[in-house]
Amino acid sequence: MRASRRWFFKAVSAGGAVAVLPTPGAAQRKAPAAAAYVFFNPAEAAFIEAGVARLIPKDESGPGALEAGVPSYIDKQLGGAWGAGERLYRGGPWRPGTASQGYQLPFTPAELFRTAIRGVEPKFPKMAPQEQDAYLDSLQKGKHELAGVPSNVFFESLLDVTIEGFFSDPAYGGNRDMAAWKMIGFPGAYADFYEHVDKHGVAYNAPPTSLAQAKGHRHGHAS
Amino acid sequence: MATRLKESDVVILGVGLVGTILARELTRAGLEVVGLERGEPRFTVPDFQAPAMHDELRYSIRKSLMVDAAKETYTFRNSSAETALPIRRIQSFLPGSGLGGSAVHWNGQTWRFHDADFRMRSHHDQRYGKDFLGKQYTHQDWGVAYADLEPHYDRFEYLLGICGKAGNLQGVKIAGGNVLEEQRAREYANPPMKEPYGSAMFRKAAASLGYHPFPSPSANMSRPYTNPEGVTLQTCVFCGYCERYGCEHYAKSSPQTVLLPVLLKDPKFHLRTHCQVQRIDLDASGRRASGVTYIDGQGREVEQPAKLVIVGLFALNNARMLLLSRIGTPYDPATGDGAVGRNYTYQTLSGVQVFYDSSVNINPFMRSGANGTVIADFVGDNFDHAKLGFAGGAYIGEVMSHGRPIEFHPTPPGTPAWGSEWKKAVVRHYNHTSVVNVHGSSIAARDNYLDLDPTYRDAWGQPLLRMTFDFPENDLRMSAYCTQKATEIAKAMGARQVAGGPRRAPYTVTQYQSTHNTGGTIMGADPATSVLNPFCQCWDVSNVFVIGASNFPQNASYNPTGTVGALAYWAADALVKRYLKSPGPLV
Amino acid sequence: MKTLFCLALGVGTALAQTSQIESCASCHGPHGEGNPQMGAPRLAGQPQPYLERQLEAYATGRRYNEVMVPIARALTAADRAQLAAIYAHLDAPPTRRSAATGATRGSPRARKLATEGDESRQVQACENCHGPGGSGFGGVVPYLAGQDARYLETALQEWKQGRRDTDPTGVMPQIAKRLTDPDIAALAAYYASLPPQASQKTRPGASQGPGGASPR
Repeated sequence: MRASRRWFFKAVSAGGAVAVLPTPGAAQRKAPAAAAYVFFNPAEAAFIEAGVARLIPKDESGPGALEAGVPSYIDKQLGGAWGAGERLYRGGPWRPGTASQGYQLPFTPAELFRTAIRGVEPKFPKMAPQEQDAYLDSLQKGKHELAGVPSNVFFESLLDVTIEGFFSDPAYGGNRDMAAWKMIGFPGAYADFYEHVDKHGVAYNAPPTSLAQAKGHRHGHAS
Repeated sequence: MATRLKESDVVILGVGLVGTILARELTRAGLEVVGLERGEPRFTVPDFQAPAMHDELRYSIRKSLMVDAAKETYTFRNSSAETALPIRRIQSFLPGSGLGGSAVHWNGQTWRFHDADFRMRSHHDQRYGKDFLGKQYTHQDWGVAYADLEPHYDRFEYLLGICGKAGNLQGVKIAGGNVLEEQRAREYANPPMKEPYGSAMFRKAAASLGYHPFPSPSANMSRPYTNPEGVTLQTCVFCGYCERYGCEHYAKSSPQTVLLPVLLKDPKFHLRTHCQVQRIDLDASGRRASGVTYIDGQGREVEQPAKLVIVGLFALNNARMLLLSRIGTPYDPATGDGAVGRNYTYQTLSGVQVFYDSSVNINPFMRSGANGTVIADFVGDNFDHAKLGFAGGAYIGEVMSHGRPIEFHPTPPGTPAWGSEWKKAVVRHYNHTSVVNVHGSSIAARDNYLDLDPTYRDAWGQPLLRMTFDFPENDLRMSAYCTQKATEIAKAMGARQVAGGPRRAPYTVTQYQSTHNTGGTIMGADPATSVLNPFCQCWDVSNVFVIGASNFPQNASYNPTGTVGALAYWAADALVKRYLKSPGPLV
Repeated sequence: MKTLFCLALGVGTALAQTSQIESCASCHGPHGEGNPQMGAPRLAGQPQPYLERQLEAYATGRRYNEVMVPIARALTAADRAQLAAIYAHLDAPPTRRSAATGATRGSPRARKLATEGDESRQVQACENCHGPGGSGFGGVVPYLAGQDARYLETALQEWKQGRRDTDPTGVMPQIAKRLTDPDIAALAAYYASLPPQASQKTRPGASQGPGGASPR
């Protein structure tokens, strides 16, 4: 428990900062074991894990996509309703369109990823980071056809789901421990800022909240 | 074999804002009204409650409150020279589906158009000459004037409890309000919302350049409010989950929060959800509707006879419904004949990002859908266009509505799209960036129109609506001019760097722009060039009224919902006071 | 009484911080945990702006309590700020749960109002503003969890009867007016039955551990 157990005015001067002792157990917490994949086979998983680690790398600003659980997010999305084509108009005939007309391939997201990853460089997971970046860059520029999928279409989808997984609520498998939200200062799921909005320029420092906190009033970690 | 039901006095297509208002006015007049909604019923409790509602992935990205493109979408092409293809994932606009329609998940920005907007053709011919704009532009007069609609704007704004500050009260200009607006009979129902930080910096910058900033009028409440129907809304707390989301606080005006509690208690109103209307049925003469046919939630075909049909669908779907029902003549861009589908317009949007020093905390997540500060100095014809070579304009303002990170993670130009540099830039700029919006008008053009697609169909087997649209040259010039003005203001906001650019062609459906799809069932004084008369009544079928943004002959600088609401009350007034007493053409 | 006498003596002179706190503690407990028998609510860990606003409200008539009004009036604005800061930074154990006034603890009705609301009454979920589990929010909205049941019930009745004006959004009177008296008793019992959480103070500059405000 905090220093406030003691007679408080010895520990605190009114209006000053509170001395905070580290929360017990924080040092011992390990990253939770990665959840099992429901969609990716091992080769796909290796590519995705290596790929997202370059798209949003771990660095001094905080955890990257891999640490945040983004591969798990992508896996569950592709293995779920969205991956199967929920909310996607799937009527033919399919024709290539102009850039203005958007996505016109017959693939569902799951089919798109499965097909495209078949065509990616198999050595990718083992390449050095700079080489990986160069390869991803070439995908982004459409320099490859990945088993029939234009690589820029695949890359754009991959980047989209990586950003989604990084910044969405942890309930979806990514943004583990709300790390991405903490990194940028986004407050998350609960939101009432009536008294803050006109305190112009004052930083908002309350810890973020997530959907998991709605479940009960006692819980160990927010995940 | 369709089941034929007992005839109703009225059948209303779509139970959104228009459908709810018309249902209320017509049941109040003693009529039995059936309301058909294609989507599901939904209410503030439990459907919009937080924290579940505050799920950016589900509601912003997957768009759970919007129409399911797997069942119905639109086809699109930039010009008639191309083949239209399905919009397989709807990104550019967000058609609502479900009780309350898109007014459940709108932002709440509520405006009145200018008198010059309602008389765009005659006004521009008079002020700038008949040859000022090219012949490819088909802008028209509406057949109504601002003065006709003023009491109905007032009524709509008080129904919703719009929060703002009047700038022109019965001709008296009031500093701090929109001094360029048309006159209004009385002050807003509620005071303006609190001004966020970024908006305050915009206001000071705009004022320093001689413009006239004022608070954005808002359908998110600045205080608890009980409307004339006796329904109470609560105060908006700036949760930052407004557009694309239902409001958990009863603070955003929507059919659920302003009218449905009263309407649903009325035994004369019969709500039916999960009903996909297939067409309006016509009698043998083709000049009178006998009712509608719909497919219900279990796939059964049902015929609902009615004496009066009100079409209050999402704007694009109003046009589609008339085309599917073979009401009126479809527009042919090659000949200019026909009116159904002509004058499809949109909104011409751009923005300027304002990147601040890291000591400046913008807190973008503390926002609401319609808060902020804007200027109308470049709206519509508020400025002299004689030497500019275009018509129309934009409101410019800092009206940020959220900081949700999947959608909002601004980085300065030149930042890579991924990798460590990107990540560092996101961290650096997320809480220190403001955005100035440029919300511009959309002129009607001969080659922009709606019709039925020859190839692609919806889940019920009906042809999809085909949209042929690109930004006309006029609007690109307008956007360049107004965005330049916005950039000048942004540069005066005290930031380190500003970055932005005007709207450029071609129009693409791949990213969100606006849900202000307008035109297609336009109103006017001349049946040759309009679908509806000035009372929103079909020229061709006098017991069909169509109300929505589809009625606009062109789109103005402001958001359309205020004017849709005014048209709803205007049409209801004509129906109750004149049509019901003597059914038939009002003109 | 001794407290008031001491305060009366102290009027016009700067009161020592210690004696101020001791007089508060004589009703609100040595750790700000409250005293149900005396009807003194739990203060420990409530947001500083909230506590400050209540003291100001007692002093200016926007909230009434016969004990608190003279106390608040004797405080300067600086005193109020200091006291609020002190109590905001306290943690305190839960008191023996005060008996609910005739309503079942943790009733389904209360839980529904707390987490979902009631469409028939146009009432939103309490937790939209009061945070997960009623743990407070944003360093300004007070927590409800672990508060004294009789106090909560009294507070909701004050809102309902228009005798309290301390909500800047103006929403609390609206909500309370839409609640029946049994709803109010049920909600009070429900939140009182929840364990009080770690204080909601913002900690400028402190690193934020995972789990946010969750109790360990």
